[in-house]
Amino acid sequence: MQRSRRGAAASAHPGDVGAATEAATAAAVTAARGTAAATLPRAPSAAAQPAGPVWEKVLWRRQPYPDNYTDPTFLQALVVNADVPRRAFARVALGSAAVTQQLSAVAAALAVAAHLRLGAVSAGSVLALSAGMLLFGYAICCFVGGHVLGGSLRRGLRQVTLLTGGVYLLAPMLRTLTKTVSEDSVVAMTAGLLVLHLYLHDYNFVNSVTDKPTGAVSLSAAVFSSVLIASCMPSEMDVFAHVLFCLQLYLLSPFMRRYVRAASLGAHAGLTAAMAAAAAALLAPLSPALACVFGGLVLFVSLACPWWLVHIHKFKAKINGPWDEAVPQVPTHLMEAGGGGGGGGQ
Amino acid sequence: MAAAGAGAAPASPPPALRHRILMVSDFFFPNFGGVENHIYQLAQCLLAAGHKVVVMTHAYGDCTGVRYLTNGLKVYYIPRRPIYAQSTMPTLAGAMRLLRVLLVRERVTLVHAHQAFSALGIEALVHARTMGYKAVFTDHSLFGFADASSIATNKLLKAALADANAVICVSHTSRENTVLRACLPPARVSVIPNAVDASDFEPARDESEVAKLAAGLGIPSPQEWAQQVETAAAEAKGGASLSSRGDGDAAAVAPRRSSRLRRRVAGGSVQEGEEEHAGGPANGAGPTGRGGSGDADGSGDARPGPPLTVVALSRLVYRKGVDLLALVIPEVCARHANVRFVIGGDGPKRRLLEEVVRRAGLEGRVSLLGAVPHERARDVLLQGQVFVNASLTEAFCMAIVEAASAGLLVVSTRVGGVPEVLPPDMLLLCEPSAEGLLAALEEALALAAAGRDPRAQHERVRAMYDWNDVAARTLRVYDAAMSDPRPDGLLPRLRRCVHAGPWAGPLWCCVLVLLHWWWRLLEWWTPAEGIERAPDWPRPPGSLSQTRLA
Repeated sequence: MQRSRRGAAASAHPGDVGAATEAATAAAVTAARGTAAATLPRAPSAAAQPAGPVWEKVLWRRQPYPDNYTDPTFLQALVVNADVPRRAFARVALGSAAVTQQLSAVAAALAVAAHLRLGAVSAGSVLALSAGMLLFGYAICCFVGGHVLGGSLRRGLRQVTLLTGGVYLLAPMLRTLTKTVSEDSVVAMTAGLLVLHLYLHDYNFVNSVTDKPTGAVSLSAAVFSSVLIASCMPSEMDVFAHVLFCLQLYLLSPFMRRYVRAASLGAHAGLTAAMAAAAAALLAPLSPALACVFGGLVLFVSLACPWWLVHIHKFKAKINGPWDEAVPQVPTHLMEAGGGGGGGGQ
Repeated sequence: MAAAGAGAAPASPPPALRHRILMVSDFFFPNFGGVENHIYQLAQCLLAAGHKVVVMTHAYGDCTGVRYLTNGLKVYYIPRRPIYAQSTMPTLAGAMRLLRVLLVRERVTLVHAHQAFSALGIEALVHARTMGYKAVFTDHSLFGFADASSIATNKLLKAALADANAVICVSHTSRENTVLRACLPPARVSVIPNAVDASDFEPARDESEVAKLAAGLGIPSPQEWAQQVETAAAEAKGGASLSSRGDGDAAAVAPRRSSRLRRRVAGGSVQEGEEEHAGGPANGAGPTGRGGSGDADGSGDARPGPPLTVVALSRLVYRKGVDLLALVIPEVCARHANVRFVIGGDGPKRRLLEEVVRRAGLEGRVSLLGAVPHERARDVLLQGQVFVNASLTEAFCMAIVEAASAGLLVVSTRVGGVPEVLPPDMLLLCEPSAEGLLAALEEALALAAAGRDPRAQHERVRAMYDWNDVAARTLRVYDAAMSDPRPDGLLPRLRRCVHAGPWAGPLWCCVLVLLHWWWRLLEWWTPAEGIERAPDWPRPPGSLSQTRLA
C-alpha cells in the first residue's frame, strides 16, 4: 500500500483498507451482474478520505491524494445493460418456430427417402404429394404474398417444367452417382451435411428479417445430401420423386412460409405445428422411438430453449462506460472513398 | 524464493531501497509509440535516480541481441517472432528459460510488464511470480467487454493480474476499465499518467523559426499563408466586380466548390449553423446566396480574419477518428477562408483524406505530410494555432499534451481519459460526431483568433507533466510491491488464481503448477550459481554508490 504525504493518516490499517476494497470490488462486480444501473463501491473512500480539497477526476493537477486513492465517484460512469431489450417468452418462442419448421422439413425429407427405399410408398404417390404441395405453395405465394414465383405464370410454368425435366433426365445418373461409395459413408455424409444445413440456414428469411434468402452454403448442403441419398433408391422414378420433393422443401418452401408468417402469426404457428405433426407421422411407421425423439427435439427447440434464453437473461451484464470506443455516424459514401473500410484500424 | 534472493544482494543498503528492475514488453524501440516512449523515459529517470533498469523485448528485424542505449540502459532483444501487430506468439512456458537466466544474470529484484496486448509482458509477469519475484504491471490502453478478443484477453488478464503485486494505469478512466476487466481491488491499482518531455515541445522563439521549419516540411509558412489569404480575399472581391471566374487561387475557389459537397455530406443542423454564421457579425458581407450566386459567396467578407492553421497529427486509422476529420475539414474550409489544415501521419485512411481534399478542391489549403517522425512532431505542431484530435478511444492522449506544450489550443473528442488530461482553458471537448467536432473547432478558431500566449501555456504544461515525477510515483508503487504482505508460495498463489472463474480458475491453476514444476526443473538443470552475473554499467564516481563488478 503506498500512501502520499497527506494520505498517511488513513493508512494505519492497510490490511483493513485492502479487505474493504476487496469487498467493494466484489460489490461492483455484483452490481455489474445485476440489471439496474451501477451502484458504486463506497466503502474505500470512507476509509481513505483525508481532509482537504475535493478530489477531481483529472490528471493535470497534483492532488493531495495517493495514486491508488478510490473516490466515491469511482465507476460512477459505469452503465450496465443500457440498451439490452427485455425478452418476452412468447416472442422468443414464436421466433423459434422457423427453426422447428426447418427441422421438420429435414425430418420429412429423410422419412420420405426411407419410405421410398423400403418400398412402403410408391414414387407416384410422392410425386402426387409434391404436385399438391407445389400448387398449394404457389397459391399461397400468389394470393397471400402477392408474389408470383418466377415473375409471371408463364415463366413460372417454364421454370417448373425445366426443373422437373432436368431432374427426370438426370435421375439415372444421380442413382448411380454414389453407387461406388459405401452406404455407411453416404449416411454419415448426409447426416453431416444436414447438420451443416440446419446450422447455416437463414432463419431470418422466414421471419422477414432479411429480404432475400441468404445462405447458399446451407442450401447446397441440403441439395447435395438429397443427391447422396438418391443412390440408395431402388429405381430411377424413386430418385426423381425424392429429389423433387427435397428441392421443394429446401428451395421453395421458405418463400411460402415467409408469406404465411407475414400474413398471420396464428397461421404461422399452425403451419409449424402441422409441419411438425406431418414429419412425426412420416417418421412413426419407420420407428416410433425416432418419432418420439423428433417430438422431444421439437418441444426442446420451441419451448425449452426460449424459456432458457429468457431465464438466463438475468445473468446478462453488458458493461458500458467512458472507455468504450465511440461510434461516430459517418456517411457511407465517405467510407467507400476511404477504401480502408470501417474497422480498418486495430 | 531462492532465485530471487540469489543475485540481488546490494553491497550497502542505500537510504531509499535500490531497485533492480526488468521492464518487459513486446513494444520497444525501434518500434515507436506511446508504450515504447513510456518505457524508455521511465527507465531513463529511474537510471538517473540510481536504480538499475534492464529492458526485455522481442527482436525487431536486425535489431537483435543485447544493446545499450543512453546512460547504460541495457536492452535484451530476445529471439522471438512477432505474429500480429508486433505482439509475439503467446506460449505457456516459452520465455521462461531465457527470462530466468536474464533475471539471475542481471540480479533483478522486480519485474515490470507493460501493456495488455503484449504476450511477452503477460508471460514474463506470470513467470516472474512463479520464480518468486515481485511483479508490477502497467496497462496502457482501454478494452471493451463485448467482443470475443476482449473477452479472451480480459479472462487472461484476470488470471494473470490476480497475482501481480501492483498495477499501474495511465488515467483514471483506464483504471476503472482495468479494475472491472481484471476484477482487482481498486486499492492495488494506481494512476500514474504519462508525461511529456516539455523541452522537446517548446513554442517557437519567433516567426522566422516557424518559417524555417515550414520550409523543412515543404509547406507554406504562416506568413506565406497570410499572403495567400490576403490575395484570395482581394481576388474574390475584385472577381465579384469584374464577374470573372476566380480561377487563380485554390483558396478562393474552395469555398464555392466545397459547398456542393457540404450539402451532400452534412446534416441539416450543420447547414442551419452555416446560415447563422454567414449572417453573424463576424462576417462583414452579410448573408449571401450560397452555391448558385457566383463568386461573392463563402469568402466574400471584406476581412477574412487572421490567418490560422489547424494541425492534426496521428496515425491515419479508423480509431483515430479520421472519418470525422474528413467530414469536418471541407466544412471548416468553406466557412473560414482564413483557415488551413496541416495533417501529419500515415495509415490506411490517408486515401480517404486525399479523396475528400481532391473532391472539395482544397489542395492549397490542406497539407498532408505523410508519416512524421516523433522528433519532427514539434516542427509540425508549431505551424498551427489549433490542434485537433478526433480519436474514438484513448487511454491517455500523449499527442494533445505535446500540442498543448507547444502552445496550441487543443480540440478533442470526449473519449476515454482525454477529459482528464488538460485543463478546460487548453482543451475544448466535443462529442465524437461531425457536428460536435465542427462546433468545438469553430469555437477554438474564434479563441485562437483572439490571440493566446503559447509561452505561458508551455510553462503550465511543463509543470503538469514531468517524467521525473512519473518515475518518483512509479518508485512508490515499486516500494509497495516489494513490501506486499501476500505470500509468494505456490499454494497461496493458487488460492488467489482459482477465483479467476469456474472453468478458467482451475485451468489456470493447472498452468501455474506446470510452470512451477518447469521452474524447479530449470533450477536443477542450470542452478542459479552457475549463471554468470553481468557487470553493472559503471556510474560516474561520486554520483551514486559505486556498484561492484561481478
